[in-house]
Amino acid sequence: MTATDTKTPDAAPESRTGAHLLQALGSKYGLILVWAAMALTFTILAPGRFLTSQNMGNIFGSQAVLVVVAMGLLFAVVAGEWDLSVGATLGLSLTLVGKLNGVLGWNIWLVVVLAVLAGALVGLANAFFIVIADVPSLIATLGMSTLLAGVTYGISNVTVAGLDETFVGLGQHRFLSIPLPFYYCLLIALASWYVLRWTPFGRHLYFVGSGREVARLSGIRVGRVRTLALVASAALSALAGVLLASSLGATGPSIGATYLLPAFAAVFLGATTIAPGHLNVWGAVVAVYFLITGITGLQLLGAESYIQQIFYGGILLAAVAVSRQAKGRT
Amino acid sequence: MSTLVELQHLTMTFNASKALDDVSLEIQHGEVHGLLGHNGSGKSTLIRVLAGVYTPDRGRLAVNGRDVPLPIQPDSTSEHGLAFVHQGLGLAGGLSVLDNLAVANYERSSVGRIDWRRQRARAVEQLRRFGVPIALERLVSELEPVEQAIVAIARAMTAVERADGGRLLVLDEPTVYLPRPQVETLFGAVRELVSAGDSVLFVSHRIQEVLRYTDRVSVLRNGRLVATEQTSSLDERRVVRLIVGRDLDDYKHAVSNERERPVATVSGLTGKHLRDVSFEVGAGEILGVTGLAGSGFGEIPYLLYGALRGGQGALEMIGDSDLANRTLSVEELTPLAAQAQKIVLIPADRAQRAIIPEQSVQTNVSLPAVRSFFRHGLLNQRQERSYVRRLVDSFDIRLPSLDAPMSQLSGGNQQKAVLAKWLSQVPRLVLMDEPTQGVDVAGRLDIWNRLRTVAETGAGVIIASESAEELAELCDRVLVFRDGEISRELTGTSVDKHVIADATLAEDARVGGSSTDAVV
Repeated sequence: MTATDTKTPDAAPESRTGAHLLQALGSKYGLILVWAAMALTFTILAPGRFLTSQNMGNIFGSQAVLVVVAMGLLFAVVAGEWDLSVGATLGLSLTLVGKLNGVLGWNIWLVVVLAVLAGALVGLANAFFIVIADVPSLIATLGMSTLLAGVTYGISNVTVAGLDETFVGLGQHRFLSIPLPFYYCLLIALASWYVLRWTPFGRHLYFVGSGREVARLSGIRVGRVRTLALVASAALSALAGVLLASSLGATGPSIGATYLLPAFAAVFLGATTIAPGHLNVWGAVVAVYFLITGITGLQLLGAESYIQQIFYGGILLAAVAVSRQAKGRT
Repeated sequence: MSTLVELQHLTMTFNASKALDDVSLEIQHGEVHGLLGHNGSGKSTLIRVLAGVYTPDRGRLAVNGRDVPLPIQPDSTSEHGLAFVHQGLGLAGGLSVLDNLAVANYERSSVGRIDWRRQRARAVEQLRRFGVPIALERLVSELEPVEQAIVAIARAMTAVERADGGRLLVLDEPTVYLPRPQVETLFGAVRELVSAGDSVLFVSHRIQEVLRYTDRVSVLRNGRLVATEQTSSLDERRVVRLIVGRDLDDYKHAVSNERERPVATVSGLTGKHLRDVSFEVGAGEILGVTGLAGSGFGEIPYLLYGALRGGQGALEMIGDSDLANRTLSVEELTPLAAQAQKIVLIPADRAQRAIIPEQSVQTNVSLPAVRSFFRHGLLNQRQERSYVRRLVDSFDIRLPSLDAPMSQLSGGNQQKAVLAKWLSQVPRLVLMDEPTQGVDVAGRLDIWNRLRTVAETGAGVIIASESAEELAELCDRVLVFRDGEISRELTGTSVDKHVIADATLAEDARVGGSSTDAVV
């Protein structure tokens, strides 16, 4: 009873400021401010539980995989393609690591390379259907996603532990009380930022995504750019699978799918900040941590775990709505 | 005549600049009122205020003598009798005429299903007054442009039929995509409305059309209303002076009769409409190609750039001391290969094919050059910026900042930015479709001068245009097309707007029943 009583008064001011909140999200650092405000609120409401180095470390470390998937997806979405197969590709790569290393005992580094290559192949297959056979990306990757889920179960339908110890160590050790994967994902974000912001290829991706005909008439090889974007998306998703294997120390066939929606939420929420109205790398990174802060905080306050789905789904809807508005204004 | 719409002291500010500055305007019952002005003069802002898109800082609006509070709610404009047909018409091309007409308000039966019999009867009624027979089953995408425009007008007028008192139809640049002979047909429909007591606000860049078809004209300049006058008291020169605020130095060029060496030879060019056409364009020459819609001339710029699939023929680029001759197969040509030969294309459909509206001016303009700023593994964005800055200055592009999205620029400035994007590539052959579509008078002269300058550096220029006036001002030579073939070649003193118009229409003058004058 007490829990319900304390929750009700909090909910009311939040909904009253809802409109302002949406407006603030549209501005450049609005999301970061809201994030900070949220973190502060949870620190006060859950004293000694939210702002602990353990909890902070968990927050930063656990989301590294999502950051990497979001980076992959960002390439596809910037180029104007919907890649619904990122979660399934992650799952495939994760399960490959479990089967080949955990069960069959193959050399882990060979397995890592194979898993990422498998991802790249998925990307090429997506590109074949989307670019050459002219299937809308939404349909092509939806089909691919289901197909890959089947393949994944075919490879292994059980949870596998006992992965290479060095490999697992690289995923579980901490530096400054934050798990190492956080640093890996920062490097990958940095590389994505470099490609999207500082190379002609990045420029071409944006042009192909926002005006394919303009890009074609400007002499950009549109088909190649779209293919590379889809391959990057799938390969990075596979890399995220490897990272997940290393930080869990185990693999399972059903984990991949859970990453699809959060990745979309992060990419589109990210387009409301840093460079509002434009899909961008640091916006997506901020968005990933914004989302997990909200979820972790709410769960510490006693929310059930289903809050996660409500939060991710709701934010995806709100983020796309806000970024469409931001685009309309400029 | 009494007043239908009265706007008083309308003022609207964007980022400290006044888009509308104390504008007062009256539209009478039963008149066609022309609204003229540069891009950026405030025309679009005025219309968007009427449509409820913008909230003005100050001002009053009264319709049929009743005050209408501003801003108008966009969905209540029809209650006040305000109907809009925008340039893009807003029709669903893949649906039938009947579907498009029905979409505004369905005739419901008592149980709520759509009563298609009544719907059909009403649609027939809606279209009949315009005197243009259009079958209700046809897909809108298959209609002639003027038929589409009439469907759009009929639909807009249906939306306001329940408003009491007079109604105002705002036609925003409706003729941009119309072949000239169809303009007369469109204005037949407009006259029909006016004779029934409704009024029309006709927004256009085309001075001749406004002079020909309106009763009164208002001119906006820099957000101010500079004049409202009886059309009969105006002539073209005076209108230009009102729009620009000064006499334009007439753009004149010496038509050069001797061609220098050719820069490109086209042979056997065949497309959707074109049939086995051959011609050449000289270094320093501006060659116009024109004709009626469907005569095939409009395909030429796109075929020679590899932008249109399914073409055949050969394009020989003639080299000079530095460059060898090179023959390109039109069938296999791609934009990339064309660019490698220093061929550039400036398409007519800016928003779809030339610019990315939401991207910044800088990224739009620098696109063809962007690779040259990639050094030591990084895009040197400072260098890129100063490159674009130089082009913006030299092409006299007016913009809020280099980071402003392209959509914030006026049509003329967008077109200049597209010119800057491509002419900076030092082309040998410039292909351009309708160079000044949606561009105001002053911007037009700038663009013409630019094209003349690039020709003087030795490039060949091919201009596809339906505007005899533009071709006469700009071109050294004009090829007139009919049924996919060259029907006339005009040179020297024959490059004249009346001769061009006559040659274009000659046997087809009966189409749309228009006289030569209507075509300029």
